[in-house]
Amino acid sequence: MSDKLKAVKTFFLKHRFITNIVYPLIGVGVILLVWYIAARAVDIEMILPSPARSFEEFFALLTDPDFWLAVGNTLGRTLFSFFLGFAVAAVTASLSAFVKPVKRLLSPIITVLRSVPTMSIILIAIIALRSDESPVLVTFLIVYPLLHASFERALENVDPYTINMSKVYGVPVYKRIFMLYIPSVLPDVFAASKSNISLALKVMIASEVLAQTFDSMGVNMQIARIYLDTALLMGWTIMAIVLSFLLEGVVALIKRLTLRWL
Amino acid sequence: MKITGLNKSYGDIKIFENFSIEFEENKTTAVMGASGIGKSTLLNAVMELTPYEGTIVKSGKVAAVFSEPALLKNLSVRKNLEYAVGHAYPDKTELKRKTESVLKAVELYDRRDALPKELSTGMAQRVSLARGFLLPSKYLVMDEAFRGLDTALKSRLKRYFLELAALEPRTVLMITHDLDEALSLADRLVVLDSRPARIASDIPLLTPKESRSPASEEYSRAAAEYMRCIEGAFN
Repeated sequence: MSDKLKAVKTFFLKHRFITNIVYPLIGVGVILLVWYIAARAVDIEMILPSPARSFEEFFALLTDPDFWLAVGNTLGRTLFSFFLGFAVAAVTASLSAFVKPVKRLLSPIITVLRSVPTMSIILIAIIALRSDESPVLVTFLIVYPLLHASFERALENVDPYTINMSKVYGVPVYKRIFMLYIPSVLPDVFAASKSNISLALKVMIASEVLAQTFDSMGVNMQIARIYLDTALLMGWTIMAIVLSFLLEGVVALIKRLTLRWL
Repeated sequence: MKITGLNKSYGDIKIFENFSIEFEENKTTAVMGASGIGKSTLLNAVMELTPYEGTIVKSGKVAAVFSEPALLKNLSVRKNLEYAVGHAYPDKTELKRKTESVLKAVELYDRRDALPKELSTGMAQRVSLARGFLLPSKYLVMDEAFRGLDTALKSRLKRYFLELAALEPRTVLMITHDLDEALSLADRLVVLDSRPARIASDIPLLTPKESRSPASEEYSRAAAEYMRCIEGAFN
């Protein structure tokens, strides 16, 4: 018995790709099973449709051009807000890591931005801006302080001995930026981007629901809710999860390629 | 190198007040003294890593060896050396030749393409030492460069240091807590005490380095003098 177990263990160790696929599949399977049992127990499609019904709606959505328009709009706005947050955070985090007065000035602002409830930002933005603008502002305001804090921490964690060595040896600034700072902060930057890009998507959809943004995933989910078409709502939700996975996957891929190139 | 009227305080604590000292060219001076007396502050001022009042006259670049190897972890040994000193060599064949010679001196030429994580602590510190001598500088500052290494490794590194110093002479300023290290590598031993710091003792070490031994009279005299200063450091 123990020999058999050992053989199974060696097999999995040898075939890592199987491990990488088998475990996530089991995880998804467990979720689907729990969902299926719960749907059977409730037995009212309007409250909780079965996985099969939801996937049916999801695949039906894939053939609808309006669906792709909504997905494209939401994805585009998410990416725009995320990259805007990323760029502003890169600039402000660098400034605050190197210029102490800037850090003192920014740190209370970042703390305030991080503690304001998401819903307050959404509600205020809806009053002030157009329905396709407010989700962008909201998403930016949510991801920017998180990215700023991560980038700043990453910059502050660069090895001080290496920084001092570079100063004493008179290493040119461009070399310090490209060979010391950027490679040192990249792993943290990717980690922060991976978790924040899917957060950006979730915040974007939530604000689209409240802002009633035309041709968006959020507003379509809201319409499905109004008609009590829960299966359709689940179909949209599945798409949101797929998008989230894809976005995280793209970040992981870029990370792999970049770290190999370094 | 000449330091005149050096003033430096941390808050209300005056580390240096009108402190002056001169370092002879191509000689090694070991600066010793109790922890917190101002040795590292003195080196940081020389390396321009801390603001100070007073004048430090230098006639060339300063290189440094720290207590940590300070290597970039994503670059190979050779690339690390090029990163730190490349800008100081307009002629790249000269850089290549010099890199080769310092790496051979510390017996790491075969490991030139290794990444820092593939090196032992001792090897990494040897790269750092080689880098110190590779920068075309007049001065080399060593801030507890052999700290935390075992005795065998330390004695090998001391040999490498002497070899490199013979190959590329420098005015060396080293701080250490290891008396044996100071007495085997330096031409002069300066002991600091008091607050603000003052030179408690300035001991020339005249015996040639290769024939120094703990049994010699110069060695025991210097050791006794050092102990006397250390015991009354903050009085």
